[in-house]
Amino acid sequence: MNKTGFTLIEILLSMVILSSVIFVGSLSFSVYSEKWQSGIGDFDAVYAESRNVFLMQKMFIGASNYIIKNEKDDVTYFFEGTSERMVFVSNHPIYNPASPAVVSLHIESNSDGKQNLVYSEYSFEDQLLLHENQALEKNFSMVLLSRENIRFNYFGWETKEQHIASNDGEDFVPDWQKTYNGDVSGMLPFSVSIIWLNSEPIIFTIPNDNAELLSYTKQKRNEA
Amino acid sequence: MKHKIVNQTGVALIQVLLLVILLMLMSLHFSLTSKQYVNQAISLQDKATAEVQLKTLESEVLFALMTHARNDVTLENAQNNVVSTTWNFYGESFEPFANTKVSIQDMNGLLSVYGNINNETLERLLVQLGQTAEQARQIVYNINQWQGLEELNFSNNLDTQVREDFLMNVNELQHIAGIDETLYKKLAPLVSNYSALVFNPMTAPVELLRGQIKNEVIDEINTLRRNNSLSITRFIEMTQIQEDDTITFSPGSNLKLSLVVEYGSAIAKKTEICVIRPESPLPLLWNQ
Repeated sequence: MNKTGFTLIEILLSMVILSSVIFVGSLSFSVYSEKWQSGIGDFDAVYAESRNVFLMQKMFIGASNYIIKNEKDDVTYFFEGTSERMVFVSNHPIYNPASPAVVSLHIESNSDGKQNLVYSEYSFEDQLLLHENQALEKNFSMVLLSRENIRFNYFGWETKEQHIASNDGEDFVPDWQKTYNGDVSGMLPFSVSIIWLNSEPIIFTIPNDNAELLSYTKQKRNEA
Repeated sequence: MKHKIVNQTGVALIQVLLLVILLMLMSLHFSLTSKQYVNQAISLQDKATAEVQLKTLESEVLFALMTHARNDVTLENAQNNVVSTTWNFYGESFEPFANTKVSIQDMNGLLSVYGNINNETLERLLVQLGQTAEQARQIVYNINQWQGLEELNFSNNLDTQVREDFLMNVNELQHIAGIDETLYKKLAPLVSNYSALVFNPMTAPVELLRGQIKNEVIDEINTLRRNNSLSITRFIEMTQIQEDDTITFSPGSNLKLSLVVEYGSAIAKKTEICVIRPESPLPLLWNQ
């Protein structure tokens, strides 16, 4: 009977060996899995941000030469931008592309020292922007990117007077600016850049009508 | 003896089996997640390629629009450009390259609701779309009021909010009293918010021609459009419509482009309204 079974030492030894193998195996698995998950986490972040850059591109391509009335009841293009916030109307907003919307991008600071690039959408489906400083209801908001030191720049005319003078042959050219206002510049910027830390800027082109719609609208208002 | 051998190999077998199961689970986990993420990476790569091809397609179409005559299909057929030999300006989609679709709508072919110059035509169109004569008259009045062309009178079911200026976008029609979602869906593809001094029946949706032209002629026009063989001469023969101060047969400079590119699992789309003026110092403007 004793010869056909296992001794206590045999069983203990086999259990020790098995436990060691399982311990080493599970340790290796957890270390490798951690590295793998970390790699996948990086992949997920890069994938989500790449997708968000595509969405941003669509939003900027759909930028509208949208006219509103300012405080003086005069017509003006709606585009406001600082180094930390920009707001304009897009015909292809991210959340509800079927209807134009006021879209805004702004930068929020995180507790970990990074900044979030936050997108907000105010759809025209049930409301409409007609006047400057008009309050609209927000329909959607999301974080597009998390990076350090995010900032915006705008390429366009500094003032509408410079644009007119340039048309008359004077030596003015559009330039990169840290702030932009459609009322001051008399038109939308030609392009917008988003930069973080020391990265290369991502530049989005804005479909620009060279102030023709505003000029035509003013002319028709004067005729009326 | 035989019983003894079975017992001795049992513990080792269990050890090996456990190890094999552990290794199999690991490899299964890694291979499944790898496959999933490789697929995601490929779809992102396809999307990037589709976007690049969309940009190329847009450049090809804009180049053709700026460098080739747009006024007659027979003339275009003589031109050696893959876009201009297949294009049309009445919004029918065509495929200049593999896996691409383009449609171009001449904005002069749509009924302009800018101002009040087309009020009578708009009323007729609204009746054709199912409104009563009174409803149509009221909607036209409301559109004029929205544009600041009528005195504000909020007693007639109008929302108190009006632009008092010209429409910025066709979508704005949804905010005008009397235009519900059903009517908007029928009306929006037929009208434009742009000022148009002339109307182009050659590039107009056939719904705008109904009432002026017999149904058989409209069917014939549809057939010729599908074959991309509708010439100005043939159109005049069939419809008896002649060019004058308000009617033109040449596509204008204000065009709505819809571009689609398919690449792998990705689809890239773009719709834009542009003004093509090759003779101007600024040959291309975005009118949206």
